[in-house]
Amino acid sequence: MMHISDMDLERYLDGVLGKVASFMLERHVNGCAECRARMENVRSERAYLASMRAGLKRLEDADEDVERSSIGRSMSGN
Amino acid sequence: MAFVTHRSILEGVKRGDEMSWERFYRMYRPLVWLRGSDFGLNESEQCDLLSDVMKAFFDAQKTFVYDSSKGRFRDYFREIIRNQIYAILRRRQKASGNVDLDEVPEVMDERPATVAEEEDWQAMLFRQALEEVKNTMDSRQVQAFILCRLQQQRPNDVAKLLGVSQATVYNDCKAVFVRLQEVVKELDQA
Repeated sequence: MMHISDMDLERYLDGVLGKVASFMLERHVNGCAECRARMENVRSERAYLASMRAGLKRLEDADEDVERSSIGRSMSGN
Repeated sequence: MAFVTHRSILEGVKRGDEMSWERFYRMYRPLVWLRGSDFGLNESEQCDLLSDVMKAFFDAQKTFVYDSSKGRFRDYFREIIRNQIYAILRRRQKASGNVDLDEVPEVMDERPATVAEEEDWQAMLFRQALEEVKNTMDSRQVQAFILCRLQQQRPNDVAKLLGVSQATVYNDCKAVFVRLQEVVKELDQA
């Protein structure tokens, strides 16, 4: 049985696969446990990255707050 | 292991190496700041907290021996932050004189990490891993990952920008992601 490539799973989730190809992929994934599991894996990687993007933003904002504060200014010698 | 870990930074700090201290400060300061925000500290208190945590950590280094088998550095550092926050809250309450001092614990707070603490720790590891990957992987691969997966630009646009095929962009993103996960895991265990 042919399976969906990782790249096509990624392209599907990015919305760049095209309507017909997306329809075929969905049909295949619905009937294929292996590809469904791989799709879930890609989804969880995306969720992890979304969480990291939010976390990086929090760290950057906190860094900026520190830099603007009196302790940040004194550490940078301003 | 070639890259910088908590262990190697701590060893540098213990030796009194200035660069290690600078690295330590820059790596952990947002975590301290975010925890202070969670407790509603004002800016002046936040500055005190950052300075108190660094001082408490510096003092503890004189006797602290890093042994990951006896506990994780993150738990140890979390306790230092929490207890310095409680010390500031106690000072605040004492100054205002109208709040029940029993509300602020005086013993070491060893409760498990909160969701926010854990998420911020993971983000800090990811940030550190990203720096490592930038230094060691092909710059085009890293750029493709950053543009696509962190800045969320469309793969087609990234491919055009980098002058490569869309398939190459996807392969680059995957390669960088796999390496990032490996580095995060190593950093987490170090």
